[in-house]
This record gives sequence, structure tokens and C-alpha cells, in this order.
Amino acid sequence: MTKTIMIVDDSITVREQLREVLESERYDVVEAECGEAGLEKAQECQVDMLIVDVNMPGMDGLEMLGRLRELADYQHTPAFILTTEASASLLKKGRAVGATAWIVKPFKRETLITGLRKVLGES
Amino acid sequence: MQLHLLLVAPAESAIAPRSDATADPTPHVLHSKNIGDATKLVQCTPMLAMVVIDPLIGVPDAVVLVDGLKKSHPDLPLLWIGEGWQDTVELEGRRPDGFIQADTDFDKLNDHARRLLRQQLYDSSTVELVRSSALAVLRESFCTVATAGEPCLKANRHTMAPVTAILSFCGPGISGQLSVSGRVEHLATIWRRVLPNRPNVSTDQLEDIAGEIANQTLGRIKAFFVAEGQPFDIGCPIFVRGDVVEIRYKSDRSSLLFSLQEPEGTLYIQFCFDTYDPSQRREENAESSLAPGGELKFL
Repeated sequence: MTKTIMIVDDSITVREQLREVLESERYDVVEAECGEAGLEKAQECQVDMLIVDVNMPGMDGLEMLGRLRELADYQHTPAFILTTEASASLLKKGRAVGATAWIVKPFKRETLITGLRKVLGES
Repeated sequence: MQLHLLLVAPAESAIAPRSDATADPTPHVLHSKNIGDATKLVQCTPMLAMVVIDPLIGVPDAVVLVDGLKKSHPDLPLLWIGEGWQDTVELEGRRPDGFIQADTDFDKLNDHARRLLRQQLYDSSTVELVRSSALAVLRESFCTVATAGEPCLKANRHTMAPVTAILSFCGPGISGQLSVSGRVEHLATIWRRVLPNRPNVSTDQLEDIAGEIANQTLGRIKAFFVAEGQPFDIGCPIFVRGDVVEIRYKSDRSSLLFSLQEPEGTLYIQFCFDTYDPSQRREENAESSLAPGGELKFL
């Protein structure tokens, strides 16, 4: 069964780059441009994994992830943080809200695909 | 560091550029012989770093020019030649930023202008950090190999090309802006390099690609300051459309301007501090950062 991955990033460029990579690997893609939209869409359709930016207008990615973890359906859904932020304190905050892994932009296609197959139990 | 100076002086002035000055790329000198032309040149030269006024054009005119420029361009440094300035002139505190002796020559003027600008200048490590960060982002994230032109000091924050993204940053003892400007066709070329299967691109997407170049460049710059114990937060991008848009910003800091050139076009990176106090770096705030470039760190 095809897995669905949600991309939450305010940059159209990054969303399009990720969509191209994920669709070529036969994943379904859902997009959201901010934390609030990500929360809404996650409740509209069950997603299997998330790729989330940190700095976005309105609710940032870490806050969104923290709120998502309060929902029964998303307590254990893998979530990668993909961001320009790289400091140890933010990584710690990411761990606290249940992020699975952290990538500092730009992403490498092979690394991303290997990582998400691993957390989706496909490797 | 490249400087673009406007010299307002009569042709016979000792500080008028030598006849061979155009062969010397540093600094670039615009020469005006009257205040009307000088005012127009200031309006249409976005990368101007300083105006040098020789009162031999006539002291009343020179005073009027100082008054007018300090009102219209309060962040543009003014250098006055000789003794003709009277502090008794009532200009509500508007006065030149520096003075230089009348018996100077062009080379001494150049040195003096640089010393004056250095008070608000970016040290060589900051210049290199901005330059190398922008080039690496273009290369690693946007499939674009560019070369950086000589950095310039720019007295204002006017945009350099029709599509501009501006990001602000702010932290203890440090704040400012970074902007990326490019032409529509050039940004579209970069978009197609990154996403060759999605060749149709809207203006919103071109703005976004400029914004993402700015975001990733500032992210790398931030990692340096985080390691030094002076972290800052990055704000939301502002997008500006229009050929050369005059952006008025109340700051006395000039901007650092780079052109990043490739055969298909030129991008402009402007970086400026509004506040920068390295004494507010705290060792206890210093943190390591993950390197950019896509390595996956499981948490």
C-alpha cells in the first residue's frame, strides 16, 4: 500500500523539490505551508510520515510537532525535521517534541530516501 | 572592498580624480560639479558608499547639499573638504560625518574615506563568511556555480534587481538583514536547474527561490554566530517587486553588497548589521551546530 508523506514548509521551492523526489519513489505527498495547515491536514487524512521545517510564519514546525504528538493517531508517526537551523539546543527541543531525525538543508536525495525507508520499515 | 564615491567638486579641485583614475577599479568615483547633478546621482546610484563635498563649489551650495542629503539619506556618510564648514550653521544637528584637510589629494581622500567607513564596517571574517555562505548555498542547493565580485559598501538598502527577498535577524547584541535580488529570467533559470521537470514558474515561485537562497545563506551565517556564543533568530521573509525599489530603513549602518555572477545572470546579496556588539558574545551560549548538507541525524 502506498505510504503518504506530509511536507510542511513555507518554501514552495523546497516543497516542490521534496515532492519530486518522493513521488519518483512512489510515495503520495500532502503539502502544508505552515504549522497550522499541517495540523489541519494531518487530521483530515492519515499520513504515515512527516517532513517538517522549523521556521515558518505562524506556528513553527517544532510547536506543530508537539501538538501533533498529543493526537492519538500521531503519537509515533515518524517525523524528520528539515531546516536551516542546526544548533544543539534546537536539536534537543526537537527530541523533546518527538522528532525522529534532523537534516540541515540542503537535503541529499539518497540520504533522505534511505532514512525514510528505514523509519517506514521498508529497508 | 570596493567603494563607490560621489565627489562633488569643481574640475580644478585638488581631490578631483586623476585622469588615469578610471583605470584604477578601486574606488569607483562619480564626479559632479554642482549640487543639482549631485542630488540626481545620489538618487540613481544605489550602491553609493559616501559623498565627498568640496566647498569650492560654493559654501552656500555645499551647506544646502549637506542639509538636503542628511534629510533624504540620513544613512549616507558625507565627507567635507577643508575648513569651510561652520558649526554655527543652523541645520538642527545635520552636519558632515567627517572632515579632511583642503591640501589633500585623491589618494589621501581615498584612505580617509576608508577609515571613516571602517567605523561602521564589516571585518574581513564577516565579509568572507557572507561570501562563502552564499556561494556554497548556490552550489550545493541550487545547482549554480557563481563567482563573487569584489564586495562593496552600500550606503542604503535599495533593491538591486526586480525580485528581492529580505530576511531579518535579531538576537542579543546582533540584528540586521540579508537580502537576495535577481532578475526574473535569471531566477527562472535557477528554478529550472533545480526542478527541470517543472519548467513553468510563477513570480511567487521566483520570489520564493530568492527567499530560500536568503534563508539557507543566513542559516549558515547563524551557525557561525551560534558557535561564537551570539545566537539570533531569523524572521519571516519580505518580498519586494520592482526595478530598483527605495527601501528606507532607520539605521546608520551601510550594507555589504556582493554580486554573484554566472553567465546566465547576476544575483546580489546584501548583508547589513543594524546592531552588532561582539562584546555580547557569551561562552556559555556557544553551541555546536550540525553541518549543512543533508546528513541525517537520528535523535
